[in-house]
Amino acid sequence: MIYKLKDIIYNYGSRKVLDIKNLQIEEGNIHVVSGANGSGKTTLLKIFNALIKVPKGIILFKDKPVEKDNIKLVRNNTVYVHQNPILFSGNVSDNVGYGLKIRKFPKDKIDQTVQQVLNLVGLQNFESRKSNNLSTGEIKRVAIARALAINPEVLILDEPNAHMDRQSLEQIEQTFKDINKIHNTTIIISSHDSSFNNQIAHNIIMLEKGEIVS
Amino acid sequence: MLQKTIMESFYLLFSFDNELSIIVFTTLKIVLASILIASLISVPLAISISFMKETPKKFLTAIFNSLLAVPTVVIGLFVYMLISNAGPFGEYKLLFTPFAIVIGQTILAIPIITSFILAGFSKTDILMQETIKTLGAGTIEMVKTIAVEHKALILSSILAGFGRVIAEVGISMMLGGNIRFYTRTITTAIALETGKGEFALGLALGIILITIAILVNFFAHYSIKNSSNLRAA
Amino acid sequence: MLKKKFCLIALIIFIIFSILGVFNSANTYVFAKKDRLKLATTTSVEDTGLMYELNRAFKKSTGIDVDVIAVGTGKALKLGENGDVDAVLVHAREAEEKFVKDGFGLNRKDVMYNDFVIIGPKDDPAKLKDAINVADAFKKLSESNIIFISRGDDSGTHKKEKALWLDINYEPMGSWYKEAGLGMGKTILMADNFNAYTLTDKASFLNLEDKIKLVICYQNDPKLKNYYGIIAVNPERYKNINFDGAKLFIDFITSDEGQTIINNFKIKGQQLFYPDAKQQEK
Repeated sequence: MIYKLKDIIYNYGSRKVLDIKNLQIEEGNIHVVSGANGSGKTTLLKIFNALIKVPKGIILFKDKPVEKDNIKLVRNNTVYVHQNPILFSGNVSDNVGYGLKIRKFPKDKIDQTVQQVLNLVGLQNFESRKSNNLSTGEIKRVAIARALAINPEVLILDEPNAHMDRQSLEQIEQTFKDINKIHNTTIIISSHDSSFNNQIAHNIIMLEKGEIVS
Repeated sequence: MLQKTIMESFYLLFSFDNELSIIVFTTLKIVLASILIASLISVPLAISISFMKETPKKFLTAIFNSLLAVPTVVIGLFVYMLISNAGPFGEYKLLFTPFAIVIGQTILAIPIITSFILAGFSKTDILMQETIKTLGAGTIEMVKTIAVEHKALILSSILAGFGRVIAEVGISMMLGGNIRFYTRTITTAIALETGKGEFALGLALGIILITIAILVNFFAHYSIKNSSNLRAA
Repeated sequence: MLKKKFCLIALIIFIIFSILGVFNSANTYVFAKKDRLKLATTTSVEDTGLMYELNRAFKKSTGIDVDVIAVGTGKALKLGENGDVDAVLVHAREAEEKFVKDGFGLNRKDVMYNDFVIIGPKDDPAKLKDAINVADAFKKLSESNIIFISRGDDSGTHKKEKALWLDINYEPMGSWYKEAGLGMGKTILMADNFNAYTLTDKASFLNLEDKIKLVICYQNDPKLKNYYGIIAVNPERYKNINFDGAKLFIDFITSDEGQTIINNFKIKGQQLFYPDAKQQEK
């Protein structure tokens, strides 16, 4: 079990967003968090990446509580992709290589990885395209490539299939399956597209009003 | 009277004499030093404030906004009391040196640059902060990236500070002492020449001041345009 | 792209040099205190250009730069009291003597004098030209209801003016009496604007004569003599005072050479200051 969550309560103002009694995420599988808008999917996903601090409850990442120094451990090994991601200024290559650059990888290694992950998301030869000159679908795939470049243990994606044409979607789906198989990457996806979910998921977590229903 | 003064001031401008160029150079070196130091403090400061939770962020933003209203002579007086020989830092003999003006002008510029940057940050910056965090950046990397991503905003905030600092007279007069060939800046020279009734020279200096401001702004906007960064949502 | 890089590099180099320049100038004080001497004096002396002549000659013989800070007499003495300057050259004898008596300064010497004059509108509505002495002139001013601009800034000129009102036992107030709170030049310009009377040193008036309509309405009373004295700031109060430099400068300004420069200094052919040091020594 890579994540263990127990008695999580998260409120936004007086509104209850999440109330999870018990949740365990198995390593190396593809998990889909499903549910209507406002059911707490995004909040749950951000908790996995320690982007949200939870006032109540226990979260364990690899059996270590997610707090203080361990937050760094979580961040170094997991990565979260927003539903509507933003890109940094510069070109596609700068964006995709960002995580490696701050991890002080040598330049030739960065270039090599950037090329590889761009191939994975179907954006061959996009390296020198300006990031402000891309379509919404392309931005999304660049953001996914940017996350993949780090080669995380856990890849967390918020609605990756929204705003994406069928062809890119199929490619992305295949990519997720591939990296899951090759690198044994745990993938956590939120989505309300049931056909997509059935295609890809090893495990589906249904959320309703912040609570797990199945 | 006005026409004659303007004609005379143009004549003075184009006969660019040595004293005039010393005044202009003194002004530039003092202002640039102040703005550089102020920027090095303000940019990380503004970005760190933007990381804070809602309540302290609002509080600090309000503080820096109010500091914009502090008159230059009050800053001058405050620094004077610190660096006067009778004050705590008197032994360094900083008063009536260009360095003293730099101290005062840095204090003047910090709230301006900081609050202008803070005002420019928008809601999307939370998204950017999360993106940077999730990709594994530490605090320093984060500040660096946010600064780079907001270079247009930061540059225009620094320019606002530059405009205020190059135009101020209270600090330069009080801490610099308007010493000829040493701490006489464009604005203190204008004050002096106006006092002596030399309106033409005062106006000529005013024209130089405006010209410098325009040149600096054009240069800055040119460099923004060359690295424009419209972020896609 | 190349051009932009070049511009940027040029700018960075310029900024670095500027900053080195600023720090270097500060270090002049921190590490080599003897090189500069700070002298607070009144605007009337600095604006005429006399200090520039004196300093040039002083630098030639000693190598010391004199930084002149031109303020009113009151503030000049305050700067001396705080140890912010090494010497003061002012014109308010009573205040100067008190300054020395209170232990703030040493070695007071007379330097020179010039005259105060009362300037006012050409047609002289208060009839100051008929005054028999300065007290009479001030009495006429108090009775005329014509606007009078006072410096109002505790400068030497302001102190003198207050003393003259006191001489005739009159406390000026009312809408005709306006306190400017400005330097001499600006006060004269303000008086010109109001077509009013004001008390000024003659040098400041001659500096501005071409630019204003006002004329001298009363002068030459012995009571209107304006004596300038120089005082070194007491080094016992502040260790980092450049007392040696101040002493050198006082010796210089009261020497034959310094006194000759003062005597020969003219604007538009008019002598502005009269040397006074020798008479004292006798």
